[in-house]
Amino acid sequence: MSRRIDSLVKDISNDPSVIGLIIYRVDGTPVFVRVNDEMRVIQHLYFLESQIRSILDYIFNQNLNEISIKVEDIKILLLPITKTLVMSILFLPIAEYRLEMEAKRVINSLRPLLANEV
Amino acid sequence: MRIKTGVIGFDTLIGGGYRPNTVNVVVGASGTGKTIFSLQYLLEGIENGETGIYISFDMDAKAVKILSESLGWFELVEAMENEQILVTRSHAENISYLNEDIISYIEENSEGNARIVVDSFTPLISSLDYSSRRDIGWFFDQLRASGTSVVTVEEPFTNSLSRPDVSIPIFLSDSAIFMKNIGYGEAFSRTLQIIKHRASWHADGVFPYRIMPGLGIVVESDLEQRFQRDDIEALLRSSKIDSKIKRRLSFLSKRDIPVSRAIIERVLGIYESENR
Repeated sequence: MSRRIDSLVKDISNDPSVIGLIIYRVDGTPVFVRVNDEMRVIQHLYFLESQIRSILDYIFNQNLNEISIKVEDIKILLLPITKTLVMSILFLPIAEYRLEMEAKRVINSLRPLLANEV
Repeated sequence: MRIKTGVIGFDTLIGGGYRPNTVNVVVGASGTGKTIFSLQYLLEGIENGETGIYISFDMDAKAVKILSESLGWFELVEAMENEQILVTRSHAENISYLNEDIISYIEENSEGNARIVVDSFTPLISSLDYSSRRDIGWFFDQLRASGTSVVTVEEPFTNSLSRPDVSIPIFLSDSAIFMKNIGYGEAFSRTLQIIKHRASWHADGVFPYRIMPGLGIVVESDLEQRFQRDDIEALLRSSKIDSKIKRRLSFLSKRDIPVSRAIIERVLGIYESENR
């Protein structure tokens, strides 16, 4: 499964502005992790881990399309993929609009893979 | 030598199977597939001509047979009928904690190399606190002497692994896996995570699994980086590294675990920078 997800997110995670891409389950468990700049991601990972459950709670219960958080020079974009999964992208906001468009395209391609058990 | 579990995709994640004469804990809430995992483990044993013992506090032989038939595992039913697999049910109200009768029953029937399942261990220890750690350690030692065991532990619906009846078996076991089902029927709704595997490599991460009639539990274990022994050996030959790290890398190259050349090169880089 991780290989199939990897093939779908490869383009966006290889973007030079992206420092990490993590897919979280609704209970806060990270189910897929792709990190390009470990040291930078680690600093923000603790923040994300402590906040992710309440953020996901907002997304799923308030039907939010996306949440973005800016911490120092990093932007964290959280986009729901299915009823239980959210993709979070940590990136340097230098080509923000292009990246957001690309992220939405990736979400659409991940959805059929991740929405069904079989 | 490893004891294959028979759970498709799982052995790859724990370095080829369980180590012999170990106690292996499977933690999960109701409905995650702990009993199916246990029966699949016994089924694999039957196919290898091994004997098995299934101890339950909830299910009797008839209920185990019904479940086996529903999964299409008729060999398991047959093995119960010809006593290749022994099924015993202890009634919860009769359980004196860590009952010596259970240990005697296992010892009498195991010949030291049986596949043993205790499904679930929770009724035996649910009333205990942390002071009982030594007694559970003793119980596990007796199981180790009798074969390779799978012990299931019920995760309370409070989602807490820190309760003593959950955490003590995890601490004292040789391996522990955590099965979870959040019940949405999506790809990652059922997942399995390896908490530990003593004296063995194990995969990190969260792996989705399915339960299918006939096949039982199937874990999606498509590890990204496969082991490339030739690569490491070529690297060892070509690189001017000192004999200490060379010996350790040579040990690593003989293990059938997924590690890529890129990781080895990175380790060498860190080692060299530390010793510059």
